[in-house]
Amino acid sequence: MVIDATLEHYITQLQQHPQATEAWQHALLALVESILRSRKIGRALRGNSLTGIYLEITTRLENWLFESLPKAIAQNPPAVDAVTAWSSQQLYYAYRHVLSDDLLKQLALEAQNHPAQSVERHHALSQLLDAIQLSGRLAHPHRKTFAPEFYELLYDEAVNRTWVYICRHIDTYDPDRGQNKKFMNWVNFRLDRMIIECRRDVDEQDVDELPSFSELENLAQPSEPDSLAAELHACIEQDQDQLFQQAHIRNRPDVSFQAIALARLEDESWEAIASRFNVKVPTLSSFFQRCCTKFAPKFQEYL
Amino acid sequence: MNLSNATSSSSIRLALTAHRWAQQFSRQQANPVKAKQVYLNTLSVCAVQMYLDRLGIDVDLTHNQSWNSAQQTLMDVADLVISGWGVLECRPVPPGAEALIIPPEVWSDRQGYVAVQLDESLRRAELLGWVTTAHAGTVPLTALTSLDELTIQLLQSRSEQTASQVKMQPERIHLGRWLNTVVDAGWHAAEGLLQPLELQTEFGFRGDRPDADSIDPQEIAVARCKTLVLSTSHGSVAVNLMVGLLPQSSNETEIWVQISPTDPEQQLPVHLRLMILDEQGDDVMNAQARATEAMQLRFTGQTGELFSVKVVLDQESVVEHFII
Repeated sequence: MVIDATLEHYITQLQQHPQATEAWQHALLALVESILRSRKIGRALRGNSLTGIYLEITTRLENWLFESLPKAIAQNPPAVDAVTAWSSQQLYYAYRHVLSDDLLKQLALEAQNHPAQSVERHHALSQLLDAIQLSGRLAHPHRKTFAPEFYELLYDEAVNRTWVYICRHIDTYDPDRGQNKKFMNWVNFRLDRMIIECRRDVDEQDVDELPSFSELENLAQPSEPDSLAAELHACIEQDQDQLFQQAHIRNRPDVSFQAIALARLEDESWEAIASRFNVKVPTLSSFFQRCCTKFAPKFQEYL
Repeated sequence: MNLSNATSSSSIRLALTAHRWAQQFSRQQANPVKAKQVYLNTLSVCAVQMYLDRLGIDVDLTHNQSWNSAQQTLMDVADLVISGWGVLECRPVPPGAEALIIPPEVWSDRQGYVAVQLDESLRRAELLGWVTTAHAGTVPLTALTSLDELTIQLLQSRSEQTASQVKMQPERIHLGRWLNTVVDAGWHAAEGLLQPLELQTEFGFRGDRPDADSIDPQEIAVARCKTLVLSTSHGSVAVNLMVGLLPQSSNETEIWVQISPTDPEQQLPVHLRLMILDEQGDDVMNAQARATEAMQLRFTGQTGELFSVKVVLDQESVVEHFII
């Protein structure tokens, strides 16, 4: 990988040259810049230069990396093919150290400075949400009360709602309120409330029922003989009001919605249907999609 | 752990709400392939909806084809209707996949297609990017446009909507200013011309109905008059609209609205109606002329309240908007 090779090169340089020599300093600078290139926080809005809180965050990350990278290379150097992962890890540590409550607060105030639903506010808010997570300052309220798997589900739901709250109500954040005036108090207080709120919506047994991607193949399905698909098939085939047969592609009464729908319900591929009727796939599929929309109230009626 | 995926602001946590919807819909499909398709499509739509939620964009999921069981059965669909912008298709990208697959049934009538990458646990979704056309069904992930562009478009369209809603507000006369001797264009002072008449309200009225006899016309602090013209098929009809104010307290005002013919010898047209509308445009008070000399409605309102006066004859109407 190109990135790996570049990072490896700089790290090797740092290991080879004595500290504080010009070559060493060049290598350190280059390494820090490379790592920062992939940072998520401290980015300017596209088309803008790096200023304000975004510049401050980047500067602090830079300073931290300058200090800590030489130590890290000396004490815990990366394995040969794990340079990228090692670099990401260093950046991760930098976030944890640099993203203080004060920086988070400044991001929040930056968001407040722009009108709701403006691009500038959205940029500040996305940086804020990322920064909160990367700072490690998001609490885990009530964690000890619940079983770990159940808590994970509860927590995710609560965090989702907290993110929405922060974005929609950022204007209600008052930096002068509260005892020690910490921004994260405002966030964690809301998160605590959301956990309690979500607790009412989540049952312990719900956790076991969530499938992973691979488990989806084996989903327990209802054993009813008359599935929705079967009912739809019957309804379209019977065509009691003569609608589905009469809706057809221009000049092709044989290429009716009924014919296409039944074929699709019977798992025939688009290519096969297109070939059979000698009509192009996009023509068939857009006609079909529009008919589905048009007949939606009818299906509601029949089923 | 892929650190970048776990923490990006376009990364969504799929928790109970999303999975509940997915389960509810997929259980209606007996075919396991279809059941899986519906499950993943639903999770993807939920992921995008949650992203929009943070942008302050509300969507009504019931408008989606993807939220309708019959439509889900007939098509591989994962649409999200965003009012004022268009339809966004939210396509699931399985873990490890390198391309976004778009099925033929959704190649048309879509403003864009978002790639929603799902991880193996189905607990995290990442919005990788989007495209505006279906590209015949396959888009390599490396060819996706940045999600930022979609976000900017959506935010701008939302701002435009809000702005145009504000523009659609009608011009209103500020009655409060009349107390400061302001006379708006088209109106002239009419103090002393407004006399209490027998009330002729047919339907319900708001607030206390002042008794005609108990009002001293001197209490009408200010009155203004404006001529309204209605052009009907029988020709133009002009009437005088008079509005008078009797402040009751610091934030309550009694308002008199009167319609009378411009020619004192004449009577009002028989079918002329006078209506008071509330902020929503609903009719809260009305009266019909029955060969009378004038019609008068009285009601009480709070400072800041909005109302309109509507005069109707045949199919024609004239409306004046006020704020107390």
